[in-house]
Amino acid sequence: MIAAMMPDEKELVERLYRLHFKKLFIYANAALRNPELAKDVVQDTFHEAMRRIDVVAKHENPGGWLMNVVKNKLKEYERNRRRDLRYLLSLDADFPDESNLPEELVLAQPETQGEPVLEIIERLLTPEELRLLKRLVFGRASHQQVAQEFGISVYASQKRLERIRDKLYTAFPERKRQKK
Amino acid sequence: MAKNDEKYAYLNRLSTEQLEELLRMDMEMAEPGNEDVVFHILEVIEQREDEHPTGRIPDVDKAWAEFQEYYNVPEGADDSLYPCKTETGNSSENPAKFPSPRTPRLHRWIKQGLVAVIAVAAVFGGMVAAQAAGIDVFGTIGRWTDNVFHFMPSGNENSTSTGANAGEDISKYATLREALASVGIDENLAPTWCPDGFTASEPETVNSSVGNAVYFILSGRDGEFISLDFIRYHSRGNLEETLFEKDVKGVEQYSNGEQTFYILSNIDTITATWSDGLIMAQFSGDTTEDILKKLIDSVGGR
Repeated sequence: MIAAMMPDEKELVERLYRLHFKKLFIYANAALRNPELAKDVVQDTFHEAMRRIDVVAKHENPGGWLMNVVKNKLKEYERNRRRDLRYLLSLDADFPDESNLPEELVLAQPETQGEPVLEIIERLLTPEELRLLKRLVFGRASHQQVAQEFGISVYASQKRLERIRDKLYTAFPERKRQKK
Repeated sequence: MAKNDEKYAYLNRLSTEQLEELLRMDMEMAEPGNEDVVFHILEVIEQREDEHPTGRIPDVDKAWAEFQEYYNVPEGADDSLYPCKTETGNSSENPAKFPSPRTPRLHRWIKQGLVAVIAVAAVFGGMVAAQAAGIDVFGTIGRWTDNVFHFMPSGNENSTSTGANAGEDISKYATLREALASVGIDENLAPTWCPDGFTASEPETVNSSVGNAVYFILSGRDGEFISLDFIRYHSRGNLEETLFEKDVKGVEQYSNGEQTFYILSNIDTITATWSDGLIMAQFSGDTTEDILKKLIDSVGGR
């Protein structure tokens, strides 16, 4: 946190912010095509700079360091989102939407063993968690947007997403093993 | 940075959307080596927004205030919204510099991909599929439609280059001739005449899976540029796959007695290009047909 930093470190972060914010945003926005999400990633990048101020302060090319961090965060975001989508879509694929199938196919579907998956998910997650998952993964909302919509902090949004992922992986360990 | 501005000046001709597409490519390629180009692109976009604000970039003061209010909070002291690996800080382990210092030309390898794509895309604004036939000429057949031009290598190849009119500016092209020779391209393909008021850049050599290329720029006093690109493809297939976007104006053939160049335009950029089936030369920029023809005439002059 800046408040706990030395004055010259605080000045350094602000100076780097004013010098590099726009370029980092332009890059992130080009990659994501989503200005709110791009801003979220860039803000998180500068937050990272604050947490690693000891590294940044001595770095010979702090702009380059920031750009590398943005790129890494963008890659991680895309990797996680694709994983989440594949996971959710593959769960759904086993139990196709019967309303779109001809009647004879519906009758021919094997009977599910136990509780349908979608019902399990709805049972596992609270309505708010399900809404948050949809906003972040399908809706590509930023943590900042979700924080404002749900009345929570950006870090609470991120922690809730991680908890949701843990719940799903715990409930469906077969999916996790397949991905390995 | 002045050298970078000159070297990548042709990028300024691309629209912001096209430049953003190049940034996306850099992200997808995930390879070091493009830092100079990326930095220039970011500067161009930022400058355009400063001069003509569209609102696509958030206000920095407002963003800083949001940073303080929502991100720089006690709760986030040990957390990251998008966790990822960060560098330990040993600068010797950091391969990416932004912007990077220039390294000696002969010891610098630039990855194929972004720079090579830019060299074509910058002039032609993108690639589209070719669908039509052109006409048969000696050398390599050029084919074009209303929208695109490409070479169709034939068996009739002529790679000699003894130009009709030797120009007096051969010394300006000394480094270009060296660079051409270094990648196995006949140095006599270099022009020997230079329009008044233009200065020559240092040639840039790019070796890639597609071929070996030399890029050279003549820069005018008022920001005009003429780009001279020479590519030795590894295969005829690579040449055939190179497509040039053009506008609906016709394609003119112009010969200096040894090589027949195709002259085409794409909005406000004019291009002259020649190929022998494996080697392609293209002269292009925001210049006149007259100047391009004089350059063509001076090719191979001694």
